[in-house]
Amino acid sequence: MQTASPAVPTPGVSKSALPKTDVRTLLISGAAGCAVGVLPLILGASQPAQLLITAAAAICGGLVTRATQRAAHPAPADAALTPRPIVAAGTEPARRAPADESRTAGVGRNVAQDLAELEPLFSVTHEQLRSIVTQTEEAATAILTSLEALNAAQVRSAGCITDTRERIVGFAEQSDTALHTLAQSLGTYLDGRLRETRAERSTVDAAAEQMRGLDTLIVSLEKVGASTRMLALNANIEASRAGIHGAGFKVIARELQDLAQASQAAMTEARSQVSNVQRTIAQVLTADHGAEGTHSEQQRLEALMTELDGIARTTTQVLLGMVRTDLAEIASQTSAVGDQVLSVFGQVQFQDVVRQQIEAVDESNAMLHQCLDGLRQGLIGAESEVSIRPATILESARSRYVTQIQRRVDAQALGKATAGTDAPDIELF
Amino acid sequence: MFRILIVDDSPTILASMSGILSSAGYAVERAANAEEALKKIQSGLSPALVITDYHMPGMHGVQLIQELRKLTQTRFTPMLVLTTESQQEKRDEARKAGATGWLVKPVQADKLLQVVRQVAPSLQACAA
Repeated sequence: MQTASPAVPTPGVSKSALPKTDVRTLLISGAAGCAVGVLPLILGASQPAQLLITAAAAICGGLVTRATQRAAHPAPADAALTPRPIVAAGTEPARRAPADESRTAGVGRNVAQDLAELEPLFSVTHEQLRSIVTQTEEAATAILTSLEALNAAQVRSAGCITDTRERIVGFAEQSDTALHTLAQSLGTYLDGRLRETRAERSTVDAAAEQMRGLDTLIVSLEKVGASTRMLALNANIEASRAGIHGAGFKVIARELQDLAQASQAAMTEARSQVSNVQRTIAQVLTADHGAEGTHSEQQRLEALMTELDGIARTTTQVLLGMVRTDLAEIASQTSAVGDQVLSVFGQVQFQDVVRQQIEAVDESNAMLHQCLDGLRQGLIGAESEVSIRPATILESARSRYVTQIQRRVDAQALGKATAGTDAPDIELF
Repeated sequence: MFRILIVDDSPTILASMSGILSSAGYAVERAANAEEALKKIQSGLSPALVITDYHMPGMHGVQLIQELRKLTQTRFTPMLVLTTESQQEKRDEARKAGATGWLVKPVQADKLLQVVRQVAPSLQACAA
């Protein structure tokens, strides 16, 4: 008769997790060994056969013990994933301890219930991840819309600056040309006026000279008139002396006297008119301010032209200075804005990278959900439609990695070094 | 007018790339997937440059390049892959399929324009 062999640890279950072999198990094992050991007596076998049968008995006892313990303390993983036949309440195998079985079943039901309560979490998590993707997409779209408007405004601004610069340069050139032309026109006009003035003065001087000659002539004529009057008077006197024989001569003397008087009146009138003309000429000469006044006016006009020329030059320099400095600075700033707009256009692409990473996390979340659902069904004894082992979740996630960031984060999470170096972001074949 | 054809299932990427290239004066045509791109080319579009994503619903980017290389009008057209994919095997696959280059998202605007000028020098930037 053999005693039951010591308890053998069930594969997959640590020795420390096993309780000590209970009394019932030992009794059963012992009974089995005894039954086998009695056989030689019944059969009347020889000693070698008895030894063999005894050994078989010990082996049977051990096997029974092992089977009994495995039934009482199954491996948790195997028990969760291996589909079990649905067992109605109260019909568990007789070899199991009722208290352990009920406790295990109760724990299993509690765990299953806990897992069931996780159900809405996965749905919520999935929707949250979708919401994140949607929000980032909407934000990126809004940013791109603003960028397009900003870019359009920047292009228009640059165009306005270019147009303004061209107009200012054109205006400066036109202004400069116009003022130079005006100055030249004034100069030409003044030269002409000066020549005309000088010619007029010469004419006036000539007229004054002629008046002076005429005055001399009038003086001579007045002398002639005085002599004529004297002659007429003497003729009248002699005619009176001649008496009756001088009557004809008296008439001639009278006519001569009338002629002298008329001549004198004419001379007086002529002198008066000559005086008037001389006075007018004098006034004209006075209005011209003389030669010195004309020269002074010329100098003032030349000064005015020089001032106009200076204004033209200064205006041109100021305008061109504005174009070179102020407008150039504005153009430079506008160009810098354009460069930044371009840069942001590229940076917005992060949304697509993040979207793919979030979708990968969402797929892993869905697999985890299926895995836990399988475990829950296993705990309640139902058959799971899809069986996903926990170890495959991470493997599946890794197989879907596309970015270097995902691989790097994976390695960092596990404290591993990233394999290899990053390939270049831009490669032309 | 020669155009640049951009193929990507992400509206963000389509808008981003259009913004960069349009700002630089290039004419741009968009397609949301490979099938739409093929349809446009078969309808008469003759792009001077194709920039395609890798991962798209249906036909992926490298398959699109293989199909375009069979067409007369796009046999010698430069084609770039713009993707988040970082596996060297995928990059080699694209090279063998006839891709001209490989760009990883997000791509900087100035570098993208530099690559465009390099692979398509005859493509004139003009007012859009």
